[in-house]
Amino acid sequence: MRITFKPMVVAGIAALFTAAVIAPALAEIKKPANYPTRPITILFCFGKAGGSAQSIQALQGPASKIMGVKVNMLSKPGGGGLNCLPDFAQTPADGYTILQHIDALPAKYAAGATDLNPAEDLEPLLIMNVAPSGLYIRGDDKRFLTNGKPDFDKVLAYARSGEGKLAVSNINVPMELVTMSVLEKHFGFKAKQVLFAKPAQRYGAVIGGKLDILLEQPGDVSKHVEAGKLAPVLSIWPERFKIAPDTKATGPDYGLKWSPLLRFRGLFVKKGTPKEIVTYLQAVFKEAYNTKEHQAFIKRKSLDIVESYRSPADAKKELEGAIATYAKVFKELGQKVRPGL
Amino acid sequence: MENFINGTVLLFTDPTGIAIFIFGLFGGLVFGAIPGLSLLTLAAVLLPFSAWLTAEHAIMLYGVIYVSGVYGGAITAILFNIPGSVENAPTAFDGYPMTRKGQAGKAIGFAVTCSAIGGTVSAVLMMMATEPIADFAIRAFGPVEVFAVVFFGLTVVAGIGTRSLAKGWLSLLLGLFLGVIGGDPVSAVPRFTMGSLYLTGGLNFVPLILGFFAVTEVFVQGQRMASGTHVPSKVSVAYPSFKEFWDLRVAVVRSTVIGWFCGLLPGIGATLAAFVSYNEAVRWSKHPETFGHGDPEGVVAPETANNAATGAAMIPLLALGLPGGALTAIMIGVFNLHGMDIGPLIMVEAHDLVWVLFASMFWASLAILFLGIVEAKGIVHLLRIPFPIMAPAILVFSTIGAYALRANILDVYTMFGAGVAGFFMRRSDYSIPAVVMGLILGQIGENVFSQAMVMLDYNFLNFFTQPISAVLIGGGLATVAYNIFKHSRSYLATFGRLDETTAHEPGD
Repeated sequence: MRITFKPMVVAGIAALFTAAVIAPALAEIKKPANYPTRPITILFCFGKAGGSAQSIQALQGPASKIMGVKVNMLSKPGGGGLNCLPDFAQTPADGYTILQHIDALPAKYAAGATDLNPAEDLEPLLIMNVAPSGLYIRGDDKRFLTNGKPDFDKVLAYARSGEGKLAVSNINVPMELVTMSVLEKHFGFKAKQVLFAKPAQRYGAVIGGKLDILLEQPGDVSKHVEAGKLAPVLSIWPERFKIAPDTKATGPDYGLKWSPLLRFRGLFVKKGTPKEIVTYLQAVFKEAYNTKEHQAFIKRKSLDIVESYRSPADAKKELEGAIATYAKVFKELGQKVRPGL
Repeated sequence: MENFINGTVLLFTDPTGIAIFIFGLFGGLVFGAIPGLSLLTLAAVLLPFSAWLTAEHAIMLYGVIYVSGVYGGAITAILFNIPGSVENAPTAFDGYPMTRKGQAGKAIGFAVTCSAIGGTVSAVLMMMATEPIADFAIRAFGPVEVFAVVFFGLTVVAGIGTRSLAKGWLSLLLGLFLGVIGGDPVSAVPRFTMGSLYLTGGLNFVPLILGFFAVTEVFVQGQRMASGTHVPSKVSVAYPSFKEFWDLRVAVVRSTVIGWFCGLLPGIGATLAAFVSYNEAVRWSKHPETFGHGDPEGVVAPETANNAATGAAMIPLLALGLPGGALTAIMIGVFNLHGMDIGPLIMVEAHDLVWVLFASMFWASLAILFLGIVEAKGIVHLLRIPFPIMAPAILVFSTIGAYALRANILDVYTMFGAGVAGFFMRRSDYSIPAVVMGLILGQIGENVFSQAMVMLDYNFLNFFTQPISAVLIGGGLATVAYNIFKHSRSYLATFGRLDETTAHEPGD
């Protein structure tokens, strides 16, 4: 099931209402002529309860207030973030459909899994989340606790007790898969990875004890950690996270000298979208990002471990850098790389 | 009980709260009933406005929309063979044939009463034990067990809506085939896409369901009009008697249990509930051949189950922060808009608010019972509209429904393509319900199968090492074997008699 576009009449009423009540206060951003006159849809490529959905929900309200039209979300999960691309490709370059995507897009381009080059074929509006990752166990998983606290050494001992013994709840996205490969190589074990498209199922598999460990970003699972359903067991970072000082980190505690791959999430429109619309949307989302409401979300979700905002120009550089980085990593791991990279 | 009373008091002591409750009730019914304007449309439209309401009113509104919207889709499924949303599709399998037999009032009566029963029982269970039930469900059901549920369900599908087992299986396989078109769920490897961008994105449920049900029906009735054999649906406002309900008590209990458990599974929700419940009604019936031809149990089963799933879906949402379906995922947004992170702590942090939600869903389930009784007596008169006026209206609504999904004209072509295919399939006694079941359950099943196989070391026999999956897969295989045995016996008996007749022909 998916969220459908609402009918034009209701959309019109919604737009007029919002515009009349809220927009005048935020009139400083120059609007292009006749845009937007109807709701804008943000198409995202992952499930509805994970980090992508949360990041859109946090911007949805502020952006809607600024533009005076409703901003919808449309989820098309599957294929490790690629099954949504044909839907996006069929939309016109008119600024009414915005694609939200993550580091998976440049990585999969580098792997040759998609021909959409995000650095060339998309116009970035911003990058709004940049975050490192960690490993999480079930909060009451006695196998991996010492004196009631998560103990990564116990996880390691279990993982090393047999190939495929440790079962990881994961997603078919290169950042996660490469990170696991690096951890496997460094720590000397081989895990079994079960790949989910929907975050609810991915988290549920660990909370329910069907799988042993989850690779995820701190903010995405913060509510489960606060409730004791999940517990951080390892930070994949050169130092311990300030938000989790008791959790060991790969750098200081296990001597892993590696610059971790980061999760980033950005908003993009199609190349060919009228320039004034692109400029307008870039300004709108920058303003939405900086609202008090959104900044509270950034703080609450620990998205300030690394500065999360990237301007459109920096976002383009980030995409180009990610393509080069992943091409290099894939070569090192002996995996397929797009010819010419 | 005290919590429930407090929730109810918060709900109904404020005129604004009452107004929002009534708005949600009618809004869900109307949007749930019109294809393309599902309850999700209403939920999405109202999301920004919910920020203007108090947290109690906003959460209550979404609880009410959820309950009434899931029921609303049954009305058009029964009267016009147009399911309002995917979880109402099985209702059309028998609901519409009941309408054709002049039993529309009864069909709506069964649907409304059973929706109310399913929803109310579900709401009560939700209030009694949210946290322990959520913990149990999530520990007992992983990808292996969910795949087993889907497999078990699919094994009875071939017998629905056709007299031929072979045609039933072919229909099911067609549905499974349609479901795999597009990128695969794990790696996006394109399958059967013929280089088409549209097919690479996969076929969407909504245009296919509208095509197979609504458009096919218009074509079938149109052909009958052209050939002078069209018989208008008889208008009947007769409500089911108490005895008729009592006769179906087992089906109601079974469907409530199935709907409840399916609703508990994160990411799946009411759709699986409705389809599995319908399948089980067929499996346990003494007359499975009557399904697809207007058996009231075919209305009772999915409508009880999809509403029983509503309260159950709240359990993983509230206790674990894991949504069961699209609407519960939108509810996460409603909580966020009011500064709360839905999840395990919500029961502590927003105790009163959660009880307002529980109370609103309970009262909404009861309210649709009374509304539905009025509807059963009134709305069936729509059937008096002559077919030459109704047919274009159905096609226009269906076209809008298919197009509104993502503003893509190719979805409209898909809908008409499915309509034409459905027309010829029905003429040849292929099963439309089996196609739709294959399509929906196949996509859910493929996802969990890919995960389950990794967990089971790519060894199918390992499904038998887990108790729940062993029982369900074993039961499914037994069902297939029994069906083949039953049909073979009947085939041999028929041909045996023919041989006997031939052997004693005069002159022999």
